[in-house]
Amino acid sequence: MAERVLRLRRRYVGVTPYPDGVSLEDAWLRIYEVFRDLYGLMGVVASGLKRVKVGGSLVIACYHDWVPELVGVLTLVNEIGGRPVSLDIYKISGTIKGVVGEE
Amino acid sequence: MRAGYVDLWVAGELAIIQRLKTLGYSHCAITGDHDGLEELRARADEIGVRVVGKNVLEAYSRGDVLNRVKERPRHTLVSIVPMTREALMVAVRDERVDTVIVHGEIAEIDRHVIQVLQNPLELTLNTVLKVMGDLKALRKIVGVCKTSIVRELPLVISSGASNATGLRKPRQLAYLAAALAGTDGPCLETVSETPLSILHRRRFTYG
Repeated sequence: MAERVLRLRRRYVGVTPYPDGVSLEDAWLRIYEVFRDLYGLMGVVASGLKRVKVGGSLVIACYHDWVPELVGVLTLVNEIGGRPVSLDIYKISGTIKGVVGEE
Repeated sequence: MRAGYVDLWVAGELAIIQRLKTLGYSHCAITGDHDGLEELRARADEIGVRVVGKNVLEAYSRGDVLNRVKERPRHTLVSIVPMTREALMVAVRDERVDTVIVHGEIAEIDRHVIQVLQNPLELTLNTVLKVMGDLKALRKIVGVCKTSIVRELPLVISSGASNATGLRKPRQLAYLAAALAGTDGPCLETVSETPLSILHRRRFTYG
């Protein structure tokens, strides 16, 4: 009989760069870089960090107990491609629909 | 219902105050030249953000701290950056000091400091960004965050922003201490109740 696999709950964080005009791909790469600097490769794996491609929005996913760390990283991102930028979180939700609907 | 969010360290520019309003702040403390403070305060009132002045002063000894706070201007917050343990011990208990700035070379916040601590510690986002490349300093900052959360010490988190891109939403700043300390967050009192109590105490004292 197959063992039940633990299903970890995910949270989806909707992010908007400020000011406008920043590439979402560049923003995601910078977030990944800062996360890996702070928490290492095992942190990236343990947190389940990934980008969810939903239309024109930047949505980052992680497991529910890594939300403080992800928000901390998003707060610490202060430049993308040499340009001063801040990342505003507009929604944290347990579903993608909950995040995309809010934007 | 929460009374409002406070950013206790920003530069005195109108663009910053407009962005603070957009992000949901109700109060802020501005550093720098206070000559145009009254005019800026009037413009900020129209925008919907209450502004107070703030002086950030370095201190290397007990005498330094006492001299710096002796001539504090009215309606202005005073924050001390303690560069030695002696200055830290005096700054955390002097009631004329509003906040004690945490930095990468601050002396250890041990049980002796905690025993006499009366004033809130203040950590800025700017400071955390500066120490990111320095393990020793980052370790100190993380230690202060952990101690403050575990011992329930009064802690304020501000942005230390010199331009609009240095600002963050209140909840994001509140998550910063939790993320560094490895606890569940956010610590909303660090951007709301604690800084508001400092502002209310000064307004109450000076009328």
